[in-house]
Amino acid sequence: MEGPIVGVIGIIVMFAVLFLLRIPAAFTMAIVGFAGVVYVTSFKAALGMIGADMWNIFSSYGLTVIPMFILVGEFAHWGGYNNSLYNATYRWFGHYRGGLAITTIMACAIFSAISGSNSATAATMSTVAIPEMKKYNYRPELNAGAVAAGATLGVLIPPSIVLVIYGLYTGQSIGKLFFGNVIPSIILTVLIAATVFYICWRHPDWGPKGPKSTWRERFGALPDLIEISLLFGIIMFALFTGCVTATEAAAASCALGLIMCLMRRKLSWKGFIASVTDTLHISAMVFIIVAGAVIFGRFLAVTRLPFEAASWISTLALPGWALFWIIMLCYIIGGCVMDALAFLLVSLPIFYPIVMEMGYDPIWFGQVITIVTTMGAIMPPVGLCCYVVAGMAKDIPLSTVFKGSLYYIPSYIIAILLLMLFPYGTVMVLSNLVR
Amino acid sequence: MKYLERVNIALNGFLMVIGGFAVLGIMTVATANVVLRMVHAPYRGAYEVVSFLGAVVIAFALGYTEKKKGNIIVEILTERFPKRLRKTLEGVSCMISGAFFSLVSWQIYEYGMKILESGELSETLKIAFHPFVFAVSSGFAVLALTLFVDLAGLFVNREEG
Amino acid sequence: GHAASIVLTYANFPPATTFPSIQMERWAKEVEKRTGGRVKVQTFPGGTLLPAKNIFDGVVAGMADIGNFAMSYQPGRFPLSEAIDLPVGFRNARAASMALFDLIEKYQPKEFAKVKLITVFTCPPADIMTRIPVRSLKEIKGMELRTSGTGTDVLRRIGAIPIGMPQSEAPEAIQKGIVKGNVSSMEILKDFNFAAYLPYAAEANLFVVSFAVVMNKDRWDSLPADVKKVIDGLSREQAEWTGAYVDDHVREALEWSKKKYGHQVIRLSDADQSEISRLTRPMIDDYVRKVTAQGLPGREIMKDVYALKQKHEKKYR
Ligand code: NA
Ligand code: NA
Repeated sequence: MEGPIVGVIGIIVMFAVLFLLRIPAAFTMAIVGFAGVVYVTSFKAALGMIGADMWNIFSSYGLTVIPMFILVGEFAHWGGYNNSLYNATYRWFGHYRGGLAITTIMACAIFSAISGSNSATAATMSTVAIPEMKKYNYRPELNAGAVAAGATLGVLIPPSIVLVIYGLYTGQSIGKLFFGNVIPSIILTVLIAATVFYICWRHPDWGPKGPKSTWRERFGALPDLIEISLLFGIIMFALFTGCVTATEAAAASCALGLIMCLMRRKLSWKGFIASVTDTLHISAMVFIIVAGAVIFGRFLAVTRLPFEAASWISTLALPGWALFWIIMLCYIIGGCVMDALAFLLVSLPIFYPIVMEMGYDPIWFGQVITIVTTMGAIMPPVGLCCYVVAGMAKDIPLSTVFKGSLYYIPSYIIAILLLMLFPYGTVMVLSNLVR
Repeated sequence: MKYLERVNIALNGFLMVIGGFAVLGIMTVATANVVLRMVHAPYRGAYEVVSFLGAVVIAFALGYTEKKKGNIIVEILTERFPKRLRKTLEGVSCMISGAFFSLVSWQIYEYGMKILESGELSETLKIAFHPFVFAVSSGFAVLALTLFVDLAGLFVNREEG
Repeated sequence: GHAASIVLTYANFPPATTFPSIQMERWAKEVEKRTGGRVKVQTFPGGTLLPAKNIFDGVVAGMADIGNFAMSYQPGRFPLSEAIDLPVGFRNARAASMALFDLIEKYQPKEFAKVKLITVFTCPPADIMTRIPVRSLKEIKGMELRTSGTGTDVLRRIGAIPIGMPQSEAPEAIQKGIVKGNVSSMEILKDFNFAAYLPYAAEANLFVVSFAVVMNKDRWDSLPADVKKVIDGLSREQAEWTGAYVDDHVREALEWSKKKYGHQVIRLSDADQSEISRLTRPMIDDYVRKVTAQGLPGREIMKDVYALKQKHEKKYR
């Protein structure tokens, strides 16, 4: 059998197992990917791959940001800081419909400016935001959807792993890519927040209005925010002016958060143990999803399906814009069936030259690609962010998370259309400032 | 059966304690490195140490996560299946996953042996790093064990019920 | 005519635009041409088939038929080629590649017993690319510099603070000031656009990184004799081609960087050059001691390295 056909069959088998066998999604991707590699190469070769790949993923420095940002979220959670944060925002915005969901989106955007990955953002924000929104009788569709969509900002807003990889691959300046990303990030954040307004307008009971607080109550809630804002300010200052990696910023914020909790006697021994335990098992859950996606991607690479599909598309005699949208579609589908980064690595060498030949600006194309791969993270059935959120919120089933997230898909498409209509105003105006 | 279950839980708990120290270790090393860099004396091995500790953190939490059923299952279709069929599928799932992760554990062990025998050292610190590889291997072994104990548990419950 | 009856898969770790991947494409094209289209080579750049540190083992296991990897990134595993990575001051990749080729040909080291060696080559000598100009050795004292391979030891000995991290994380680290520069061969100024944030370079010829291309032994044995002959015939030629290509590419990258970003190359004084040699000399003694303990003729290897360096550098300037 031809390699690419094996790849297509592999994708079908993966979905069949996923939907019918009650094997965890991460295990399914790894097992089907492994079996596929056995089929295409040999048992011996597949065995060699699995050992080394697992070690490589587990010992990757970039991914250590995940346990660190989960831990800081846990300390803030068990130390009661999130309570204060949400209590204060509720005093100020709770009497608007969906006010807390908007706050969640904003908090996701802020977290994203620290974290390069959407799984870390999804995991952290799930612990922080979902219990609070639940407390104020928000519907699970709105809670989970807002966190999942907000978390995709993790790979969009710099520092973004996708943009760094794109820059290295294509030789484009990372600085230009990050600066060019500022307006698209704002556009998408605003669009996602607007979607929350829309949802609450359509379903008034999903994000109920709270009672209006008095001005005294509003200002009375503010001192609770000082410590957490201070912590946040220090991290942001370190990241943007100073000299730390994302992992280091996360680690330092953990340490500061821990010291703060201990000094204020906010964190009990029980809370401390729970923080560490939760961090461990949430990180394990996220890592094993990443590992499954990498192994399944490895199988697709061996079948050459991504390469062949891409080069087949490039040979079609179509006008430039049609070709462009077909490429976009490939990225959307690719983002649905495999890890966005893995698909990016496989496809860029083939698509990038085609797109450049069509005369598009490389910095601009980087932004479009990032938004599209980002959207893949909330698309059923493999959207990574939704899996993480469903895993974190034990009482919200995966189907509800996906249902809640689907409302946000138009935001991404509108963002891409805006980028297509106004390439200069959205991207180049800032990226051109960088030397 | 009860005894096996207890051994399994104790093992997961033991690994979680080590994993907990490792995660605090990452926090300490990475934070210390930020401070050291401010005084222009960064620790050149910080990257490597953090990466290796990260591997331990995740690997040692695998069994516990499975025990808590923390890994996400797509239930859109199967939640409509009859209870009996669902239980059988759960057994099949444990068996396939357990077998697979036994393979993974064995292969990571082999990978560690290869590094040990060839004398390969870490890139920056030039230290032998195979103990970390073996740690990841044992994490997967405990995951596989947990899955097999769960499988056995399904059988026992069926006989009793 | 024959349809392509033999398909070989070739795994590589850096992106498609970098020189190790370009030499892979060249090799694939030559093999296809010289076998009259009977052999087709499917290339997998960017670590899509095998990640960097698993390419050698992956080829032994049969995950890929052929693989290119950096021996220097797995210290201890390829002791013979480590001699070429030592700070002996190679001046270009062509001479270093040929010296590596001849050294391996002479000693037939046991680390390659499980594979068929297709070719070897090195990157151009590493120089110090920085944000602020470095005009003398004194000025890099206490400076945090990103590097890899032998670089950590070299930098430590000449007084800098080496930070080992992958090339892919360097741009962010530079922009945030975690490191003040990058110690690597200079084609990256253009290939990865480092010229945009590292406008100065001090030419120091510190060390090279050595690469090997290997093939699965069973796969090799299964090939017809005439195909084997083509591949063997290409071995030395490919090493030389790659060295020459990347040397030219460095020159091109420097011109491009100068034109586009006003990039400036600073030549360190002769006194500084010999000071670097003096400071890093213990690394060579350590190497000899280490491999002698492993049963290799350390002193003889180093003598050969110097002789080969002289021989090839006379030919390729
Ligand atoms: Na981000
Ligand atoms: Na759930």
